[in-house]
Amino acid sequence: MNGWGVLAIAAFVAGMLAPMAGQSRPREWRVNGMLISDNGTVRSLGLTVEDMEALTYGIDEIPGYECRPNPYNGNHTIIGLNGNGDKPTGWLRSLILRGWTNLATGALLRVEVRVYDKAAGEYESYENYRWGSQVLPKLGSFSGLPIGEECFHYGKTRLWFREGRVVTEVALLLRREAELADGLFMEALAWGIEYRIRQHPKKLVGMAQRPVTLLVANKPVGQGKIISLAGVTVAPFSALEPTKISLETKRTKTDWTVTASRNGRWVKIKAFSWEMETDKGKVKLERPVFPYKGELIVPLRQVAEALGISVQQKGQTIALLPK
Amino acid sequence: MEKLQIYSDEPKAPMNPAWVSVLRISCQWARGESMAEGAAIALTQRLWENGHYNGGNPGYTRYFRDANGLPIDDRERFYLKAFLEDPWFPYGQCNDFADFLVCLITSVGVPIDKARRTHQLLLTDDTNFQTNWITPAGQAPTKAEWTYHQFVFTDHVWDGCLTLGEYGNFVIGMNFDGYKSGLVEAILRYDWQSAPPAGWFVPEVSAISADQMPPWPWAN
Repeated sequence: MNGWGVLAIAAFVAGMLAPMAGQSRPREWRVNGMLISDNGTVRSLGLTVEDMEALTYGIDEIPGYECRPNPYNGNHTIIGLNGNGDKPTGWLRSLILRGWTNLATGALLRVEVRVYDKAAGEYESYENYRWGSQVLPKLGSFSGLPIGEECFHYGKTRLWFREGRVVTEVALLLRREAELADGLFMEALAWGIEYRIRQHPKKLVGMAQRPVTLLVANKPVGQGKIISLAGVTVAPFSALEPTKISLETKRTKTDWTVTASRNGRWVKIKAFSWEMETDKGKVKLERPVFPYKGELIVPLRQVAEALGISVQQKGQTIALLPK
Repeated sequence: MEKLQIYSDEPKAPMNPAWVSVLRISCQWARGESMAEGAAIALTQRLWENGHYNGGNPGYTRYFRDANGLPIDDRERFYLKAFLEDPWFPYGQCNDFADFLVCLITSVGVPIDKARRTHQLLLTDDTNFQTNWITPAGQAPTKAEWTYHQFVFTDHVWDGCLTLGEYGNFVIGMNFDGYKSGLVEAILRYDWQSAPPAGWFVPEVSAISADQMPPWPWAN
């Protein structure tokens, strides 16, 4: 090839690359079964991979389930940051989608959380889902309790809810749906996501949440972790420790149980259960138990009273008074 | 070691050019088949065997609307890249299974390239028919109440989303009337429509990732 030929090729390549100079391009990368992409070349929600992971359960946080990479694509988690962020206008969204497999039955569990740039109701609502799918959704949760601002479900295995800027879908895929499906398990998972949304360091719900102060012997405990879920105060079990309870945690691949005892009284709770065992028998819970950052979150009043602790509430302040 | 699969014709739309990620699967699932019909049969069966029907909820397809905001029935966009990357792949509702089956079959050069819906989208706001016993992919035999169904259809029906009857008969090149009578136990509201007005189209495929998919239900 003569000198002119080389020059012509160089000019062609330079011509191809010149329009791309200064442009940042969408990125995609994989880490340990997670496929992560970021399309925020023009706009960004300001949410990181860690921010998105904080909105769902950890890969080992659901007893009896584990994250197995899909045999075809190697993924158990998809994290997409700043979807549509390569365009100057329109919707902007980040999402996390994670799949787990039941160790015993092979049932597939899936949680998807989508965060928008503004109130999610502007993009997704029950009305949007009322046609165009093979099966129609039904308004409300499985228990009848209101999760988020709006919720609906399909069959016994899929629950959708919206809260502030966030939409969440929880789904379970079973070979024998009719016999085995447990909508309340799905709903317990959803309440755990609702807690994570409200706990999130980046503001994801519209109205500022008034903090709940928990006092034991006039000292605040569990700051920031005690919130109201649709009118019921929930707290990590450890918030009760200053009342001189003893806690025993049993955590295996298939079980996560905590037993608390105090002055001969005891309660035993299990992750994602809607009831607790006590020295006086089984008690139905107002909100399910779910894990968060290595602890189980429980309905405060019911558990405290079962352990012989009096609960007094004035406004946003709750005092635990050991008897 | 993976063998190269060679068919008698080049990939067809919407898989023209064929995606490597689709060819990797179609060649694996249709291994040993050298005739067009044999490949289509193998791909339909393997899709059902490996698939997870999501119960009939929105998945990886989106619809188009006209200037008045009304749905257009003769188009549909299938977010193929996002579908391929799903942690539960192959996972979705009937639209996703039908559109992906079109991609699989056309990727190996077989001209079975259209998805067909049973009803216009505007009629999918309530249940339209009850099925006979079927076995959706990844599930136990059941009877379902559906607003519509979507499958692959040129002059015969191919459906990797379900098998028919108590014995799990694959839908591999059935004639339309036989398929309908096998699937439908009772019409509850509107009967299956001819196409058009019900949708019958080569699905558009999209190479964007899940986070770039627009909110349900519109592609435009």
